[in-house]
Amino acid sequence: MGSDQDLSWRQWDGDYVVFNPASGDTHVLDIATGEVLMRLAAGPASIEEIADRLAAFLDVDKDSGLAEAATEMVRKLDELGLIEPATPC
Amino acid sequence: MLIRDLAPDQLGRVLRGPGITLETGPFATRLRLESPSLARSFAAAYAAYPITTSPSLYDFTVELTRARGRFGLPARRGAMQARIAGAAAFDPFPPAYAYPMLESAFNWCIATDLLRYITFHAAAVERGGRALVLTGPSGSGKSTLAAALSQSGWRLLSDELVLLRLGTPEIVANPRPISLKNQAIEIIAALAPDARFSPRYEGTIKGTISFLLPTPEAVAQAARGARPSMVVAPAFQAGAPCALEDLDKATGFTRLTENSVNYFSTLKPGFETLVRLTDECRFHALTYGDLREAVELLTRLHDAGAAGNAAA
Repeated sequence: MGSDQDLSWRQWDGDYVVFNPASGDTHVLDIATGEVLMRLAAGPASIEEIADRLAAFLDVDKDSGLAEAATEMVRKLDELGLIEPATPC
Repeated sequence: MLIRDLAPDQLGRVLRGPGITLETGPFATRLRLESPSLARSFAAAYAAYPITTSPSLYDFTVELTRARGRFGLPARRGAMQARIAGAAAFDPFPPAYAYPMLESAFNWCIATDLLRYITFHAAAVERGGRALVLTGPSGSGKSTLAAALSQSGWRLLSDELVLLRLGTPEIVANPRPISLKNQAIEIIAALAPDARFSPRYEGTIKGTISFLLPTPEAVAQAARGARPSMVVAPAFQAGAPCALEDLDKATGFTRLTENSVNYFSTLKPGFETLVRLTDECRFHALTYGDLREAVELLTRLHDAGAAGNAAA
């Protein structure tokens, strides 16, 4: 998954607000989902890589629960139109 | 030239004829009023506002004229009609409510001027160079609180619609009479015995309405806006003690978007302006039952914040 849109965002305390110019919508995301979006804004990543980022951010060991959480966050971000599937090179 | 510089007869003639251009904050409105009694109410409320009578540039045109019925004949019972930019706006109304309808027409013009500002359903007052914004749904007590603050050492920036200039988180001053309803009229009159009001309009769909006129200082300083440092969502509850709750910035940001008339049309410039405002503001929810107590609490909080910023 990746995000090549020109998103604008700001993080305050435990939340991100994100503006999507493609839809004109503004979203409020919890900090973990916001971190996932930041990772994808930097470039395409697999669920595995996103789970790595989450483990580092949350300072926890990576386990299957984290991969599930990453999948759910990616699904939510996709549903909001903030990310899209990356085409393999 | 100010409204009060024109003799009443002369003003009435000009308002019935070519009209005047009224300046309220950043807006110039070309105004025609056919009714002599409406012209008198308008002149009393807007005595200290600047006008030009010669042709000039303006943002809006507002006319309140006799409504026309079938076949272009005057409507029965002297009903009146508001026209904005030449088109009929609102349903025809009895002449007794002409002045409140004029205020509604002004608000309508500002609310639909979507290009230069993010517009909020809110009130704003200023003290020591920084603004306090009061947001919330109708009936939450924000106009009453803004009215009380405007009579207690704060300057009224605007009520009903707050305008944030796109690109900079500065609130534009647009001080106009504050619409107070029912018990709020007596409460403000008791709190500020020297305050000046419009006549009372009874039996409107909102009950009894009276307009608190802005202080001469607020009108004289209408060219000076202010950056907000605090956003408060008030909730009046009879008998409740004053209680203040901190809101996090994302919640404050979201509440502002929910109270905006046009945030979703302002796109990225709107988002970035609102983010800057949120960066600079503290957000609170305020429950209050006693107006004087609420005014004291907000003033203390604002002054402490200003002192903190000065020390930093």
